[in-house]
Amino acid sequence: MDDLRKRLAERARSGHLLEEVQSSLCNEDVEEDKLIDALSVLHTDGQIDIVQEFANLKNSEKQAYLFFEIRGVFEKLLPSLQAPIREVMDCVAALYNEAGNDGAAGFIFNAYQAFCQQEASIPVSALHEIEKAGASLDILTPTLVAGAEINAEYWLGEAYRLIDSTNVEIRRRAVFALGRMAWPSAPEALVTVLDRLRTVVDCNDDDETLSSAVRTIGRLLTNELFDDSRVCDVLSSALDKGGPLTLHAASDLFGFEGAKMPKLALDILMTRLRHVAPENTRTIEHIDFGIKRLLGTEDRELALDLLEAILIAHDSATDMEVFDSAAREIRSNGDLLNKVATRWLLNGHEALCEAVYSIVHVGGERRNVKIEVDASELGDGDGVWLIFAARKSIGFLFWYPVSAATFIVSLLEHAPDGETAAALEELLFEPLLINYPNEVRGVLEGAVDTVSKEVRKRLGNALQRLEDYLEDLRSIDKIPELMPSLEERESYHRHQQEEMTESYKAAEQKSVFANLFARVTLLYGRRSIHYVRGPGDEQKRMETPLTSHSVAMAFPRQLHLDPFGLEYMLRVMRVEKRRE
Amino acid sequence: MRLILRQYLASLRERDELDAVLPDLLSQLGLTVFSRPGRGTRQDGVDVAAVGKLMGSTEEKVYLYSIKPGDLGRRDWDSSSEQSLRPSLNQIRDAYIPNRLPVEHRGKKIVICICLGGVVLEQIRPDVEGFISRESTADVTFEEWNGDRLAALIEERFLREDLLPTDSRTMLRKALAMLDEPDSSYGYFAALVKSLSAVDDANHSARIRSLRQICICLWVLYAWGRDAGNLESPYRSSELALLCAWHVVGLYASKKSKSAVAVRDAFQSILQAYMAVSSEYLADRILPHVGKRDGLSSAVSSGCALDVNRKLFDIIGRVALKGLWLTWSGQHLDPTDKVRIESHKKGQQECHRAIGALISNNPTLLLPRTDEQAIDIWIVVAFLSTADAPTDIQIWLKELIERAIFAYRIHGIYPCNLNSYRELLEHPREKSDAYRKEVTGGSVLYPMIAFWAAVLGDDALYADVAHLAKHDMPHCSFQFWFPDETSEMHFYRNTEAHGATLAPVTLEQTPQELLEQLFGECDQSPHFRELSAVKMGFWPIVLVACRHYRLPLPLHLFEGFRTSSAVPEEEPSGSI
Repeated sequence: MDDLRKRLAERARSGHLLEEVQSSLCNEDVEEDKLIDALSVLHTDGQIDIVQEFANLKNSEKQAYLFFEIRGVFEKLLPSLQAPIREVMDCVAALYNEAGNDGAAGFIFNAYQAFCQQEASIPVSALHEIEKAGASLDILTPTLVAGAEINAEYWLGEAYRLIDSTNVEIRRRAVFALGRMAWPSAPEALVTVLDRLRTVVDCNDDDETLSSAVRTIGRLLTNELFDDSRVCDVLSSALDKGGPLTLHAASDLFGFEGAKMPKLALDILMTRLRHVAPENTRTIEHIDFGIKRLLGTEDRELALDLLEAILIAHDSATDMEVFDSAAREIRSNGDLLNKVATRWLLNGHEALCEAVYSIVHVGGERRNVKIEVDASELGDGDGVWLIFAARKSIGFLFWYPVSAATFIVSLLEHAPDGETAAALEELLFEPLLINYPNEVRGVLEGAVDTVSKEVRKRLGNALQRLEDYLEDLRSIDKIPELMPSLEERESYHRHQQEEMTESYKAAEQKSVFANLFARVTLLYGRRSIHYVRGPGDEQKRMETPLTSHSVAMAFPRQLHLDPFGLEYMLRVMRVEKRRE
Repeated sequence: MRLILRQYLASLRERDELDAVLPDLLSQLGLTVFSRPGRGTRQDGVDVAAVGKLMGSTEEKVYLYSIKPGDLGRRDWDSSSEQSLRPSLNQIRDAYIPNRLPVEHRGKKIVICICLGGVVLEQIRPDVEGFISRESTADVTFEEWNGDRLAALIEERFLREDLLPTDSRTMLRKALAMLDEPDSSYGYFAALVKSLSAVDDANHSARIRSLRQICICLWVLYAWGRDAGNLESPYRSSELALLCAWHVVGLYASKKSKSAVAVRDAFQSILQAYMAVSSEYLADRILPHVGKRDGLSSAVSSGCALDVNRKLFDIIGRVALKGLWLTWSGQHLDPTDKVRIESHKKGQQECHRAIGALISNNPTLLLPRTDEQAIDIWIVVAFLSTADAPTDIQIWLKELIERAIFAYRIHGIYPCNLNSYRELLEHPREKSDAYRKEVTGGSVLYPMIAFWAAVLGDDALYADVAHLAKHDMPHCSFQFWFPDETSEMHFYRNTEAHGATLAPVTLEQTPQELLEQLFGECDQSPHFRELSAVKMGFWPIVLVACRHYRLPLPLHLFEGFRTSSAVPEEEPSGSI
């Protein structure tokens, strides 16, 4: 302990305290609590000035995690630190700004709030510094929140005062703080909060202020004391006036507080969230969380309506991939997947059909998922629309032949006449069976025992046609004259190799693991041997067996027989539209 | 070398395959061949007849050859089969010698030669020897010319070192050894043929001998290729041999001397070999599978769409070329020979049907990868035009242009000027206008389609191409190629660039104006008519040269499609 303190003091004297903190953090022999204690004692003894030292901490893009680790030490020291309030405020503001846009940037305010709560006078002094001496406005919200923890009534009054400020920056922060401060438990106080919010909404056009108001309204909405309609009225007004930030705040409520929201508020939020702009991907992500949650409830139709509305409104500008959580939820629920796929493929809108693909493909999933028609979505079951949906399923799910084939097989059961059934049978044969004989034959053969007699006949026809087709191909002996030359074969292999290498590199760049772990290239052998350092510098021998892994992919036959024809056919199937 | 020849002779399957070589061999031996193998049945048992002194003999004798491919076994010697040897020998003795032997050779001693690709099998030898000893007289004797003897004679007369240098013999051996890698095999054979046909400055007999050597080598390659189950190199080599041989024939274009006749005879042997190779290639490898959906595309055995595309366009060009040869030979048939005319028609119809089936069963044929594949399309369209199938042409060209336009607009795999395989694999390397412009600088494909649209009066098709030219590809130079005064010198051997290109051709004019411009240019370029192949009536040679050396077809070939207003006073020569 003494050694650590001594070392820290020495390093502080030479201007390298933060480096020593970093090195101690990396040293398994130094416990973090002991480090913090040592720093605290040195600060109390006056040997170092913690606040001054940490104010100089700099962030770097490459080693952001080190910045946050070192800052974390300060965050742990701050709640019990004795230091001039202005210096602390400046240091906290500097460390907050240095963190940039990182999601953890604001964590330091928790430590600051705890610091302020040491004495009632501290937040008062802090507010004074902000209002009169030009301290950073970023500190205003945590100061108000900290004050409210000591005396809620007094600090709510301060917040109301600041809400009326002529300075929009102060107004914004005060409204934001209002939503985070401790409120008195008396109902009258909450009514005051609501009234003040109504005033804020009525008197402000500033998007950021309104977005803060929406967040605070969200807090009120979860309070049972209130009549929904009164709060929802204010919420509606705020959303009507607000811009993207306000909508983002609404998406926060929908995404993370939706479960606690009254139905009326949820309706208001969902109506407004339909208008989210495609470029606001963070807002869409929050909507995605809300939709995912709703899909698991009895309100899943509402969720699907919202999802559909956004996808159509964005007209492919927003990919279903952004709705990653919703897509996973749908994919994991067979009935829901069937419903969504049937509805959207029948609808035929490109954005919705692409979304069906994204759901099947979610997370780069290569496994085919079976899709069957949801009869409740078929309406009057007009044969033309069945064929339309079947063609859409091929257009968009061609790379997932089992999904497309299971969908068409199930459509066959609903074919109203022989003509429709024949058309569906044709689609099963071409392009599905011809391109993916093994996969699709498996689907058809597997379905034969479970389908009606009429459908069985159709499946039999398609399988027989495939057999005839393959028999024709098998009847051709090897024709060496048609073999590409050795040079061409080698060129093609090289070309393929290069393409594989490029795609591997691209995938590697996206890989989370590549950035987390050191890379070691093993040239020989079937296991790796390495040593790890254990307690007391003891070297421990480790052996890791190597395993090979492989992925099999089926490439459609037409890809090399007629790539243009394949692309053209798929494009046509994708773009053809319903004519009512 | 003798072993190679021996194996070649033993592997000949048909009687007429041995027929094709024997007259040249006899001529080279110093005999005068007075009866060559005709089509159909033998002349009273005789396949080839020659007269002269052989092997140091002082006396001129008549040699009558009865040919049997392969080994001679019991069934081949004496059975009810029409091809049995003993009845043929009896026919020679009983019918040919008394009745058909030319008057000028009567009184000369006669040698009846049993000519075999293989050997007389031991089981039948006593019968043969018994027959010979019984039937031999002072004036009529028998000789056995088996594979060994023929191989020895061929080697001695054609391929011995002073006649065929060591380098060339090595080339032949390598061409045979590499038959499984057709590019290499063809490369060696091409070097051999080019060296053998470099006889511009040689004397007549050397020229004649060189053609006979080419013929022998081609037959050897063909026989070995057949045994190896790969006719790709023989096919391409036969085209080259034909063209290089024609270059020698061209030196005698207007001559009627003995040498000229001998040269033309030797060329006929090469043509026969070429026909045999192409017929077998198509009949065995291609035509049985044209009706199978994706059959030939799948048979390319490559996961690479580029390979499939290139092979299929190559195949369809070969089928059409065969059809055009049939068209050509049909033009030379005796109008009263209904049987052969009918047989020719059937052959042409078969090619026509094969082309239709190829296109409908192999959709890769609906969009070429390179502009250069226009040459194969030209050949196909040329054949279809002779088969009176304008609708087929229109449907195909319409589909081609629609796909090409679509592919071009979406930066897909549109036809380009790239020729390197590697570059084609990467095409389109970029989906940028600059790249697209770079790789579509010139075209013979689109103007060709426009030409045929104009010829066939398909205004919609013409408008499609014109629209593409004006709105999508204003940078592209549409062009047509015409032979010039150097073409005769270089066309058949591809020794240097030759000809002239009309460019840019605008499609802003009406179809009729385009035809007038193009056919007018034909009038301005008389060199096509000066080509020896055209002058001597062998216009398919021009098509073979265009296919083999990847040259666009000269428009003169289609002057038959000139409308009345544009027809010149003279009948166009060389027109299909």
